[in-house]
Amino acid sequence: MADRDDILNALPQTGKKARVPVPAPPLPSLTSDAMWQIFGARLEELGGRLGTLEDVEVILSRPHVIDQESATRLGRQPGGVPIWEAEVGVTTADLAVAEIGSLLISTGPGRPRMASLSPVVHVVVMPKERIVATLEEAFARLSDRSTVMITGPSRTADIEHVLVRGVHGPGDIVVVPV
Amino acid sequence: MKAKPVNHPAVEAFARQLAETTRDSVRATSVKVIESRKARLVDAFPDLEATRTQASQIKDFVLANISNLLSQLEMKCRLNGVQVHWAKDAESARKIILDICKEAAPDGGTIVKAKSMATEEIHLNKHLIDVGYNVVETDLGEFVVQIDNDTPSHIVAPIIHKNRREVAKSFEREGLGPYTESPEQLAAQARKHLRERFVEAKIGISGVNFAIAESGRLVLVENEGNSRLSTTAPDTHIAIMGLEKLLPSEADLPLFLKLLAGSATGQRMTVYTHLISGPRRKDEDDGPTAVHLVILDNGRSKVLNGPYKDILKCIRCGACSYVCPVYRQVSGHAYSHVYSGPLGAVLAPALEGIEALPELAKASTLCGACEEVCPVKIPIPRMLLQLRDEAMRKGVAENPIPWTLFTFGATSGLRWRTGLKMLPMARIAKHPLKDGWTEFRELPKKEGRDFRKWWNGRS
Amino acid sequence: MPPDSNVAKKSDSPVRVEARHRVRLMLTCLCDIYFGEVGISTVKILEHLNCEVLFDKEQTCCGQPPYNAGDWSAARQVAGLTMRALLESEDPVVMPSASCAAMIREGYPVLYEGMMHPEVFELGEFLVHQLKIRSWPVTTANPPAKRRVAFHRACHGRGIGLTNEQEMLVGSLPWIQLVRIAQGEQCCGFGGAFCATHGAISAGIGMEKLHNIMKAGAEEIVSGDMGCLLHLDGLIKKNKLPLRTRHFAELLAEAIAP
Ligand code: SF4
Repeated sequence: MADRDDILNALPQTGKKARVPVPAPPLPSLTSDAMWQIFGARLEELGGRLGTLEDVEVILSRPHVIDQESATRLGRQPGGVPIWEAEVGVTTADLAVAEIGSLLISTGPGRPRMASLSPVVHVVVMPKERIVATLEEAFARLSDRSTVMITGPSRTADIEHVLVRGVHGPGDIVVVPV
Repeated sequence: MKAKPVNHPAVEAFARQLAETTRDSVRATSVKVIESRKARLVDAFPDLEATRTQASQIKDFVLANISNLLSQLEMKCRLNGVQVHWAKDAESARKIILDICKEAAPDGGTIVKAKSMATEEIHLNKHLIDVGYNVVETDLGEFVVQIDNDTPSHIVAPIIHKNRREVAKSFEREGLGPYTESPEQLAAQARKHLRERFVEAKIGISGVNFAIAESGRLVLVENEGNSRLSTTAPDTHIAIMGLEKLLPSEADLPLFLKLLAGSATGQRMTVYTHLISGPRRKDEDDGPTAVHLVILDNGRSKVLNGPYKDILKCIRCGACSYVCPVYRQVSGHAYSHVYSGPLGAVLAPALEGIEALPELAKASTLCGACEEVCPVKIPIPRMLLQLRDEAMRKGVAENPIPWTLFTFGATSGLRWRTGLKMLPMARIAKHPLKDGWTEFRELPKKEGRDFRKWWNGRS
Repeated sequence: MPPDSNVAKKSDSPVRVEARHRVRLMLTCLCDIYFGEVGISTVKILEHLNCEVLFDKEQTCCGQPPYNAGDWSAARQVAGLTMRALLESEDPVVMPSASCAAMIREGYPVLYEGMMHPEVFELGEFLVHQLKIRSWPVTTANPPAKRRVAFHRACHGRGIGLTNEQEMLVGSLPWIQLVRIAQGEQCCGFGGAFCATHGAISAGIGMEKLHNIMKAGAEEIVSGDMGCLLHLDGLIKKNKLPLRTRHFAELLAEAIAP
């Protein structure tokens, strides 16, 4: 801990300087449907898509894991194959963010982090009303648990700036608002 | 005519031996990113100028209150169950990390690493490998850098200097799969190989993009998912951050996340934004059971007390490199430091001391493109000038021209006019910059009328 | 009177700025040494717009060359002399160089910490923002042949907030067709002493610019900064490229009846 005090003492103690408040952006008053429409368009740009419960049934023919909440919603058993073997992960989400096509997913009981991460397909089944227009609104409602915000399929552009999807995380995302 | 052997400054010397294909790779990506950056940010922020000013002021606030904010961060992290360590220099940081590793994996084994400039800065990999750990870079670009025994040449795009054929050859050599030039298939080969490393690793090491003082949340952004895997699958997660990577509150995040994604890659948002609130809680299914945060000084407190403190507002978006005409000609390797491009040209000498890199600041046309794209408005050109001045004052850099004669002439109207008349003669005499000019250009000739003669003849 | 009432509306009718401005010309060292015609054109332009031009023969240089090279003690000696002269009167100072204007506005406060800089304008900036000229009042009876021109925005304009002022004026000349060049906002690679100490990099940047200009089909490069022009012209001649360089003041002066 000697380093701690050395560092803190070496830092300038200049003090305050007006803290500029981040002004809240004007809140667009959009209906949930309108927001889902924007969300869908954004998600598609990113290479994901909106889907239906029928789509989910087809996808679930592959080895999968399902989190607690989606299992209840789909009338299935939570869990599934060992996580590294799952090709599909089904999870819920806390919030969808329309303006950027993002999903916020917090951890918690029955909500394994790996389900949205290690499979090649990520299916999100979530209640329709869990959507906000802007990132600012979404972050004002952050869970205090570890949370991930997912914006489209995993991707890389490291090789010649050519876009490749699904390099480590899921290359496919299907979002099903119910 | 062949140029006489001259002692070129390091960046110039590097440029002279750089392969044209490397230059082409760097240039092509840089141009693409800068174009999409512009489109994206203009679209995302109706008043981009005001947004950048705002971000810049938030970072000013951070630097002005840094010791309080760090104490706050430390306290919140502890409450979250994150173990906080302080490292005053690289050696101290390496020792802290090694001690954690020895406890978490006493018998060695695999350590998965997410891309982190701070770990590059302290040369962590070599150190851990030397004591027997199998350290694996998992970001695709960093993975290529590692298997090629290379160094990253851009802070965001580590293999910007390589084309797909070079990557293909490396993968074939490493036995990752059959030779292929398809980026998709190369990525798939890397995925397969690295998956096994994620499964076996007991420790994951990452950097931190933003640490939130108010909540103790560590924010990591990435596109591939390797950073999430590195910080989720292993039991122990070690995060290392330069002490300036703070934001006061979570309300500041939306602005910074959008600016970073737009500036770095022209995206609306990075694919994964990982907000870490500590280790796995009792009621949670997975995630690391131990999370460590190493707060690294390594010269930063010194920089914060000096004229280059603004460079610590940097959020490592890499836009200044992409837009820089010099960077586009020379690639990141020319800067001979982990921090390259305009950012590195200031940060490297600021951290290491001007004596270590006295000529680096001169490798710039001072065109100002970097400051213009910088999301936090860092006045890079001004600091490059200050570095040049400091190097000169301390006598550690060479003066390209002895200015005595110029100064003598330019400090009196009479001497100036006399000097102008003598210029044709002076041109025959050897100007110190003559060879550097004529190697690539014709000497200028005075064309047309002389202004002063014309003016005098009018009245 | 609405502020814009003296803005030029048509390019073919001569405009007279109503109030007679008195302006001081800062010639700049490059005009003194190489670009006499640019200085002459600047005077013609200002007089054409009914300005009274004063020229102080004692002037030398703004001090930017040693400032950029890092020799600030040399820079202070030269800048001190220039600054004193500039502060002698209130009349605005106009110069055909963004780089010298940037030196005085941005550099002087660095050299002399926090000090106010004298009021100076780059020529295009003065024409557009002070005299409210939006398109050039052509008076010549013998317009030159039509030609395709690439406008190079000099980087030092960034420092003083220039955008498309010079370009707009040049583009308003009926015989000039401005072409769009790829990577148009990129630097030409000059950079003062850099162009010689880092010659290969400088020339690499410059050649890229010239190739982009040729690809756009231009035959002439026009800019507002003589450093860029000197460097690009040297490259053009060494590589025998089918291009020539001009300062934008010369193009505007071309449009004035003798
Ligand atoms: S200096 Fe500015 S532009 Fe460069 S990497 Fe840092 S934040 Fe980005």
